[in-house]
Amino acid sequence: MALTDGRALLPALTTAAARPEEDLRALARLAEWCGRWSPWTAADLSVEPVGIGGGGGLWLDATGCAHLFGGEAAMLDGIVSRLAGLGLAVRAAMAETPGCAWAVARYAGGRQTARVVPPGGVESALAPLPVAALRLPAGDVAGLHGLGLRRVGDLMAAPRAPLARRFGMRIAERLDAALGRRAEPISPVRSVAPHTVRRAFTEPIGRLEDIAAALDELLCELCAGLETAALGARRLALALYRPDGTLARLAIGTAQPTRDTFHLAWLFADRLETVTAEFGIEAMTLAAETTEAMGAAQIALERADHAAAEDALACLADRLGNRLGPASVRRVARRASHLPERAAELVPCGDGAAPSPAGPDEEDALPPRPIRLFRPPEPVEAVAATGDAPVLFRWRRVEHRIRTAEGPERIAPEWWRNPAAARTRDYYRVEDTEGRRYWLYRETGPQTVRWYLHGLYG
Amino acid sequence: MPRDPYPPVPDRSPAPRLVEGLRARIGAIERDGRGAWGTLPLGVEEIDRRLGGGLVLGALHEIVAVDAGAACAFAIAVAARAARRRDGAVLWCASPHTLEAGALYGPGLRALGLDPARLIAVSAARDEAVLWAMEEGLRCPALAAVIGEAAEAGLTGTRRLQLAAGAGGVIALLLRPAAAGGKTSAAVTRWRLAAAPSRPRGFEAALGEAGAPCWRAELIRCRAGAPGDWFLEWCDETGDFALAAPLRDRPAGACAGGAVAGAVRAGA
Repeated sequence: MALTDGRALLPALTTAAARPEEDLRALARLAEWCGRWSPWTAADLSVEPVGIGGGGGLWLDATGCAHLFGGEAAMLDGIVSRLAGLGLAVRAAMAETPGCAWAVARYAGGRQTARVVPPGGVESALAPLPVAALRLPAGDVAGLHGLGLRRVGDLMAAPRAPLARRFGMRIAERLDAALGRRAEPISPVRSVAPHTVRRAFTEPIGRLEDIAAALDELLCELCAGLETAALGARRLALALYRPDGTLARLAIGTAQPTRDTFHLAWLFADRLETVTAEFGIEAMTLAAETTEAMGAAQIALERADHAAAEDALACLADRLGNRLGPASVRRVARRASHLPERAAELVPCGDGAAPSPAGPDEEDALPPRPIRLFRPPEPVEAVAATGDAPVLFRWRRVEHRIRTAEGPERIAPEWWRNPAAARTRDYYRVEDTEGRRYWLYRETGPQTVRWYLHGLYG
Repeated sequence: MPRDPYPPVPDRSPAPRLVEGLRARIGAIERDGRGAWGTLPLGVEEIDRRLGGGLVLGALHEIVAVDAGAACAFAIAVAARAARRRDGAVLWCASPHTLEAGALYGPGLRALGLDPARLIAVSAARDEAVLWAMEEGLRCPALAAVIGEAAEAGLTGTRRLQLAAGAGGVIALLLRPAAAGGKTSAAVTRWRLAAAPSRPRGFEAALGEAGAPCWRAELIRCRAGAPGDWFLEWCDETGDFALAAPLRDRPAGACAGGAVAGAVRAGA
């Protein structure tokens, strides 16, 4: 019916523009929220409207979850009533195959919004349904109708070969998938971590202490599982499900694999405070998203002082990194390079190997290095005779007269890295008349001579 | 490298002993009984005597950076002494715009006695984050020193640091740009560090090279003692501070920039 016809019938008709993208986004959010029932959730984002209720929908793989919610029927009723509570019109079905659940949810008819197909009842549940229930495009459905095949039961009885010749393999594939003879995997919204623990509360909890206590329990459970698998967590994700269909996600990272529940709880403590939960939290899941092998160790028992100190530093690095960003807590890493800015860099703690400082011998062989380095070097205006040490330079609008200069120390470029930008540098250690010490270098190009300030000495 | 000798404070007459005793008692009262962590001698007898044995461990010390290089070098050298004494790591918290002097460079730290492997550098966007990171660090038992660069710390911020340092026994050093100096703070001592022309000797002077790094260290405020003003030299060979040699020891003309006195004493 055209809009004008509708308006003619009912002048007070309210209209709103369809926003399919928004709908899909909302559906994806809803799919994520449904993670409170099962970790394996997906939004069916097929845009093309197929059958009753359009193309969209939610998939939940409830394998092994139903007992947590009092059985399959109770779980499905719970899901329907919770979603209905959010103001949504819901039809749901639970079956052995996604195809069957889809068909029953949409075509089983009646006023019942939640149906559970009992184990082994897939065929009998599908047989009376129209062929459109197999998620077939409109063209295929019309074609099958033309052949007199109206019910899925008819299709099951019909010979395969003529159908395949006429419609391709799709019909047979869909039928096999719905009957469970062919696998039809669901891609979850989020990758499902093998180590995931969950907790649902009968009443939403809102107090920070309660949430923290629940988190402690989850952490103990998770770490026990990790210990059995000889793993340590590097990255944990906590999802807090609110009753209003939204969820909060908190993630923490650690510099080295750990199963120390106390430490992990401490890392979460700051973040928990930022969660807004006016209506409380009704379910929590905690997943170890990244794990690393970690041998059995007697945690917090007698150990060498050095190892204990390393652990304490790792804890501190985690704590700082989780608040300020993992890249902001760094240690000095050495590299075999003559270029000063490449020779020593600050790299985030826990990235790759432990810091490997060069031996003192290697550093003693070099002329003294500054204590602070400008990255990138700051251009300065310098006065110097050609090829000689500078006598004066201007940096940040201040003029520095040079009293002593030592150098040059010639550092050749690493031409194998970036030949175009490679220029030889002549470094001078200079002291100005006030006693301030700088590391200057001259970069001689084909036509130009440029001076840079690269570092400060003490 | 010789270990810190911790020279005993020489007692020449009963009067100084009495004064020292009283000073120690006053200091203990001022520190609210938390001064149980001892002191970190700088290895310069005159300064250590003025400080009552050295920089108090488990306390906050403030360094006003007139010259970023000199102030950082002093802080690193002090932290390195603390790290050697306690066998711990050094946490350096900085926001990039406080001193505007670039990033710490590992290879240069060894000359000041600090093993770069002991350093943990934290960069934070704001002063509050720097202070927070320092406070967290002061609670960590594996650290020997915590250094921060912050322009604004305030009385509350510094008091929090002072309390955290007192609880863990870690020495805290707060570097502040010269423009932010003179504000109230709970630090036990406040220093003012500026570069000073070096005094080349022997070969260095003959070749026109710079001498050992030289800094003017002013002790502006000291809770348990009188302020002071010294010219410190850093001795590369021994890894120790030394008072700069008096003027007359230097060859004429080695110091072109202004008159400097060997050891200027202020207060008494």
